[in-house]
Amino acid sequence: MIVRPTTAQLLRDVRNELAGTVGPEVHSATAKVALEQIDIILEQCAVRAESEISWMIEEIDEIEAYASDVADATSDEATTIALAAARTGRSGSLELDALAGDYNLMSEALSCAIEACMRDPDQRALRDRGVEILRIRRADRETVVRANWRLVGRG
Amino acid sequence: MWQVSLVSAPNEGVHMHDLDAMPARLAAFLRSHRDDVELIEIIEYEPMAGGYSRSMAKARVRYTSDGVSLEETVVLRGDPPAGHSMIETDRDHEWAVLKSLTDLGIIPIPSARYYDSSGEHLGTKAIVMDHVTGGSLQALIEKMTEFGDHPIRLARLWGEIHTIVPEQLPAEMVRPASWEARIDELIATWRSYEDSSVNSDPTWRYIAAWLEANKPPPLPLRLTHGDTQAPNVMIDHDDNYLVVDWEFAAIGDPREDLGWYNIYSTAAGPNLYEADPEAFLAAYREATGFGEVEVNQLTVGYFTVLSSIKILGTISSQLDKFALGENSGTMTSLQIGSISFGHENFIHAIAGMQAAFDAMAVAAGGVTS
Repeated sequence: MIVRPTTAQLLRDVRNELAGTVGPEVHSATAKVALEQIDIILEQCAVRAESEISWMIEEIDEIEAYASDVADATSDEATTIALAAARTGRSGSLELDALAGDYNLMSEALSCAIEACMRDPDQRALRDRGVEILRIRRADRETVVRANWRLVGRG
Repeated sequence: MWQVSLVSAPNEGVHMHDLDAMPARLAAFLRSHRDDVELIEIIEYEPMAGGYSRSMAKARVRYTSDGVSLEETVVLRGDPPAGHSMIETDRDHEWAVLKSLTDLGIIPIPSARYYDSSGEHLGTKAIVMDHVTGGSLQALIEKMTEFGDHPIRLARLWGEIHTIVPEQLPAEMVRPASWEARIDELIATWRSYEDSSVNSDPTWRYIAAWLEANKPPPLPLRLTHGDTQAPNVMIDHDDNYLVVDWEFAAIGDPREDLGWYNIYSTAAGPNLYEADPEAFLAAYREATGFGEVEVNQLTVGYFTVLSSIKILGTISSQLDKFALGENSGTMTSLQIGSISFGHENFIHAIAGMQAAFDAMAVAAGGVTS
């Protein structure tokens, strides 16, 4: 398997081709907007191709530890069930679709854990830890994935 | 140039941007409403790029009777082709709201003219309305470094919308049983979209739990536009503001519109609220008569998060359809960014509001929650 140039490099090359060769030949306003949107989506795909597998694996492990701590501290039934489902259902595969399934299952455990902490004022520190996962692992990485995103063609 | 066709063609495959079929269809449709005119010709027909959720086009129309011709431009607003929708909304609802607002005459809007309620004539359910010859507020303020009186005018405009009470609105519009019921419905909407999605979303679940625990003081239910943003405000040549795109109009808490304006304009600025929030809110309170306890930066922050589900939810469901192979399109793909932009901003907004609540609780001698 030829792995270099990487998927991200190939996608960015397509972006350059569209911008440099195709773009100047496009004159309709709606097609120009579509081309600009395609450019954004290609860059987002390039960022995801580079990192999304490692990011999901890292987050799955971190959520598992967190949800386990919440289940121990609160005995919350929903968290315990969701965590058990994520553990038993985990494929362990690095195939993207299977890993996305693992990630979804563990995300449900994170949701349940944060909800349990929201219901219990004594668990403020654990709640803040869960929100920090949302901020650092989800929001900040999604910001990287958004790349050059903007609402093209509005107004 | 296209004239009235007497032959009825099938609708299959026809959409708003179909330059071969649409001019003749539009001419025939207008003819069905204007039997006082001898000849109707479409002399220009052009897709419009600004319509994100719906397909838009504008047409130059010539009406001739007794050898005298008059021309005007109209706008068509209809559904995108099947399987290419970024969001799903109901044209029947939008038409009912537009007709009602046209008749009321309180809010300046381009007049709603005709409605193809079945799609029989225009290939899709579509509204024909007046064309505004000026540009949008968005296009204007994007070129500005100083916004002049636009923030205050915009605050007043949103306020004018919120003076319209449910009794003035069409019977078809859903009336929440109470303010509490409306807020609970929106919070539940965060959960229901997440629950039905192909993606598990802990951020949305956290948002719902936080909103439930931190409800603001109530306000009377009023008309809400639902998609308050500068691209939906047109400015005519007399410098009047006109509000367009009423597909998300509902009866709700007026602050839903302030919140949506805030988050949308943060994503696609400039944000005229953020430029001077206190001045903006003072103008809004003056237009509505609402008080500072109910309308302040913290309550706007709350509704910035809460109200976003109305549009992010339908975007999320279209992305789900995309994942399931039932929808596609770059416009839809691009909206993954809208969802993640919401994640980032809502997490930070809630952190800021929570810190403010904690500080208030400490100042009051209580404990943080």
